[in-house]
Amino acid sequence: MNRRRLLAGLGAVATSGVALGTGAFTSAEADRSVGVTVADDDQAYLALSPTQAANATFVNQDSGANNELSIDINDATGTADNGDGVGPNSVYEFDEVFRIENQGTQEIEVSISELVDDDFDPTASGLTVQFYPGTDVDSPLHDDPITLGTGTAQVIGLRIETGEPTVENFNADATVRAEAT
Amino acid sequence: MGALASGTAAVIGTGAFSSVEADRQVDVQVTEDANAYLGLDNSGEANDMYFDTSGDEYAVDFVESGNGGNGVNPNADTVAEDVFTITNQGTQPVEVSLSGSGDLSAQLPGSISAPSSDGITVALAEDDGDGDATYELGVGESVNVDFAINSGTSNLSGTLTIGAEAR
Repeated sequence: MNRRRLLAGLGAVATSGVALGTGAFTSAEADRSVGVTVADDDQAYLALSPTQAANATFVNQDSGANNELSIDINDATGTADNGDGVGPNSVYEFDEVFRIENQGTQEIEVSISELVDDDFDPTASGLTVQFYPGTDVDSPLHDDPITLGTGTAQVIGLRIETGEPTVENFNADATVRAEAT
Repeated sequence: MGALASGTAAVIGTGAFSSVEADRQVDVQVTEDANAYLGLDNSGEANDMYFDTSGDEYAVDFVESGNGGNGVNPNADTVAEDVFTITNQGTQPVEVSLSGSGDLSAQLPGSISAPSSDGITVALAEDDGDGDATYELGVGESVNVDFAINSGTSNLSGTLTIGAEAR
């Protein structure tokens, strides 16, 4: 190949390179930071806190774990006779135990799972725990989710039905679920 | 190798010079994210509250919700869809991809779900159906970005890398 043809070939390559370059961008890459703050349970997007009512005595907030809320029916500190728990073959209703507030950005539907025998450790027999809004014990939240607009709150109660379980401490995790409507 | 290379260079360069240096002006306009060729901006949805556009370089920050919330719940799974939007403001269709580092990892387009242990996941909100991890964005088109968080009791942070390649 003589020199002239070689140079012409190079020129053609360079020209097509220029043609490719006329787009505004061929590739772009951008790094952006993503941060997540873990709030206290009572300050979070789905704020969970004790009510101001008497049954709030059954609520614990773990100060070592961002005030994570839990409910302990075994160890009420506010009852007059310092009772140890619920009795067998009984139905107990505890109104206004804790409070859920929608502090997020969207209207949500809130449900809370029902707890039955196998959910507990140790496994129980005839033990059911349901959560209900306000005093509406016939509309448990595992069946009838409630709608909460942003900035609104709902107090929650517990209905506990005991069959004939042995006298024992039963533990379970209930799932609070909030879905944008 | 050395002999061959210098011989070839001599032919191409015609021997007039062995090196040259010339300064030419290059204008690069750096714009805030909303106006860049790869545009990043508020989604117009409720969760763009978590997209911080106060500086020129935008960021995602799950902290104040504007409704009293100061962050995600401890020991919870949180999903926030449509936090911000990516728009192709260039002149060619591009394939958009996401990757993460630190506490952040990327999922396939259209498949946002919280990670199985403490961390943050990110995914493009829609899948273009071609079976790969990228999303094809035509000129002027947009796609939203979803996030999910599995929180313990410690704050999380990561870096999101947004890539775009012309097709």
